[in-house]
Formats: sequence, C-alpha cells, structure tokens
Amino acid sequence: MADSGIITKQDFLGRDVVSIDDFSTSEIDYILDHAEKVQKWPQEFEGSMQGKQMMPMFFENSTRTATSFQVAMHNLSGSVVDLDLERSSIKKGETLRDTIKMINGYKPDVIVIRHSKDGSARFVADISPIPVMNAGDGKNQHPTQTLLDLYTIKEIKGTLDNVKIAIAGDLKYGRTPHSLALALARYEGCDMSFVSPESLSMPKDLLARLDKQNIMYTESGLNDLEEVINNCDMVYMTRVQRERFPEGPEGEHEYDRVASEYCLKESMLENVGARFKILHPLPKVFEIEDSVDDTDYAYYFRQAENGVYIRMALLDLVLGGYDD
Amino acid sequence: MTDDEKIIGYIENGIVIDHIPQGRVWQIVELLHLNDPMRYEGGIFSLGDGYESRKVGKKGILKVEGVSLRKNDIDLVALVAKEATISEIENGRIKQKYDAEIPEVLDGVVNCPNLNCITNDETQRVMSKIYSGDDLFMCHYCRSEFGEDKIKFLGGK
Ligand SMILES: [Zn+2]
Repeated sequence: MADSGIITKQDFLGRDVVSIDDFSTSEIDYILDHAEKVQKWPQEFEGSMQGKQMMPMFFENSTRTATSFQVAMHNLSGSVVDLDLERSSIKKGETLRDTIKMINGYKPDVIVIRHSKDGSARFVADISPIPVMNAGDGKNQHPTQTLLDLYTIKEIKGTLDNVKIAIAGDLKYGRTPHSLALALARYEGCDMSFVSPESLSMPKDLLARLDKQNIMYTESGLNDLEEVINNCDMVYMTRVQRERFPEGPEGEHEYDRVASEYCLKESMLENVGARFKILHPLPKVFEIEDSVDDTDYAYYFRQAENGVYIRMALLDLVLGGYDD
Repeated sequence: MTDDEKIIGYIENGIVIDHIPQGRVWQIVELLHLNDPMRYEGGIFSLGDGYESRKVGKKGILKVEGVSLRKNDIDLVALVAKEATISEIENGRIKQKYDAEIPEVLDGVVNCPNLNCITNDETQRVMSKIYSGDDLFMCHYCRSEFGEDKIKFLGGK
C-alpha cells in the first residue's frame, strides 16, 4: 500500500475491512472525509444501498456494534438479514468455513462478522468472495471502532496532527487503546499519555513500536489522571474488567482497589482546557462519574453516533453507492 | 568420495543435507515427514551425527534417496538448521548445491503462539499460515509477531 497517488472511491470497491493496517494513511483520510460528507449531506446517500443486503454474523454478543451497522445500512436504504446466531443451530458444531460457504450461497452483498477468535475475520475474508467487514475479532482488531475514534478526534480537534491525548484504563489487554495509539502514531506530532494501573500498562512491544517511530508518550498511574488531563486536548477512557485480574480473593481485592481509584470525577475537570473532551468506546461502568455526562466535556455519546457515519461511509465505499 | 559419504553411504539420486548442528538430524527427519511411510513409500534415508565440522562444530548429515521433495519443503530445514547446506545428487554427482533458506510463507508447518488465534481452535480446523521476516515471524490471521524462540512445529514438537 504505497501512500502515493490520488485516492478515489474506486479504490475501495469490493474491499474487505478486516484491519486498519490494510489501509494507507491517505486511504484512512479518504474514509474520514467520506464519513463527513455522509454526516453533512445524508440525503445525498439515502438510496445508495437500495437493493443491497447485509448479513450480520455476530458469533459473540455486541448489541451496540450490531445495531450501529444495522442503522447505517437502513439509513442508506439497504436491508439487513435478521440472523440470530445465538439462537440458530449455526453456532453449534459447524466450522466457520462451512457457515461462511453456506452464507455466501445466499448471496448477500456484505458480511459483517464478530467472533471471539483472533484472526477469524481475516480467515472469513480469505474464503468469502463477498466483502467482509470485521466488527471485532477477539482481542485483535475492530477497524470501524478505530476509524470512528479517529473521526471523533478529528471532529474535536479539526485535525489529526499534534493531538495531545490521554488514554486511560486497561491498556494491557484493551484492543481499542492499542489500535488507537498505533493509528494516531501515523500522524504528525502526536503526544500520548498512557494512564493505567501498573499491572495493566501498555505492552512493551507496542511501546517499542512507538519508540521506533519517535512518538512522544508518557506512562503514569491512575493517581495522576487529574494532573495528566490538564495538559491534554482530550482523554480516552476505557473499561477495566474484572476478568483481567487473577481469580480468588487477592485478585478480587486488587480489582476493588482499581475500581475505587479509577474514576474520572466532575471535580477533576476544574483545570482542563475549555475545549477539553472525554471519549469512551462505551459501555462505561464506574470509570466516569455520572454527573460528568451532563458537562460539555462529555463527548462519548456523540462518539457512538459517529460510528453510524463511519459505517455508512464504509458501506457506500466498499459496495459502490453513487459516484461523487 | 568424502569421508562422510564413506560413513553413511553413497547415493545415486536424491539429496544430501549437510552441516546440521549436532542433535538436530531427527528433527529434520520429522519436519520433512521422512519417517512417515504413507508419504514416502519406498524412500530411503540414512543419517549420521557427531562428525567434526569446521563450520558448525559437530554436525549431522542426512541423505535421502528415492523420494522427491519440493524445494519449498526442503527449505524448511532452515527452521531448525540455519547453517545446513543442501546438495541435489543426480547420477551420483552433485547437480546443485545451496543453503537452506526459510520460505517466506509457512503453510501448516509452524503453530501461531497466540492461543486465542483461530488457527489454534481445533474445532475450526484452520491451517496455520505464518510469514517469515528478517527477525520476526508473523501470523497471517491474527498478525501476532514472534521470534525464533517461540517456534513450535505443528504436532507440538
Ligand atoms: Zn495467529
């Protein structure tokens, strides 16, 4: 993927959306620009998926991602097959290969897959002649999430260059912070502050990749959250999950300690910049105080809404809606 | 005829894999499935280990006759013996000699070390596909990167 030449809509036709790494930075910029058009002039795209059908294959539950894809398809006048894998027999015993071959026989126009195994989306894309969109494969990739995060950051800041961002929560296992950090590293002058409990800090190999690219970053503990965000344009909060801690009373204790410490309170926002924003991939649990939702800093619901524009843009580009 | 050939026998047509670090000859036999009678019916292999070598200290030698191995398979030797040299023998003479080189794509040879990878889910029966780079290997599916130390051959060896 040489980052040269002019990108056109044609470059996306029929492509799979498995990983953000499959796209050059110019292509990512093109997708973000396209999503902006979709958001600004929705009526221009209204019929772009007329007569086209989406096959959602959620082997793992994720209501909000599934809904966002469905709404995106409906907004473009496309249809969505109502397939409940949880209740169907497909999930039991049949290999993914057989399921996908059968589904291809139904001739949908796009397959959206969510699966607990890393690499499952790539496998499906390899064997399916129909374009595949990855809605999360294990702890590996969730490209539409990364794109909507970039879109939201660009919306806040006006550019993806010189972004000063704090990324907080479970940075060790979290798929979202990993993809986001690497995606932001593609742009100029990015400055990242990683805030996490010591046991859930950014993996060494990821930091090594950032070092290689001379990306600025700092690492700090949860106690420093307030101080860190005072110097940032925005903070990206993520969940810390119980299952990331060892089983038994000791793990329970450690989790409880983190749960009580890790919370962005309204009082901590006194000294942030006037245009400071808070992002979160949702669902959030205890890491953001409820009253923060009503401040101008809360941006996570808008962020979720942006997911629809990104998915509309991708559907329009991959399935070839109207010409620009 | 060299000393090695005297020790483990002259071959007419086949390949000789030389300069295998001591103790790894059997690993290569297994990697190439030479001991699988279903695959290599009628083939003969002979091996020796512990010879003095200026190149690798002590070395092993493996000779294979009567089976045809694809270049891509022979190159797998480099996974366990980087220093190995391969000679193709035709009518008792060396036809071609080359160093084993790890193939760029390893299909169904090496396990992905990521336990949550689709290729490690036995119920899915997805064959592993690993790319070999300059310093690292990478899984085609989950994109995990790993070094030589993490290499596990399929079948758990
Ligand atoms: Zn893998």
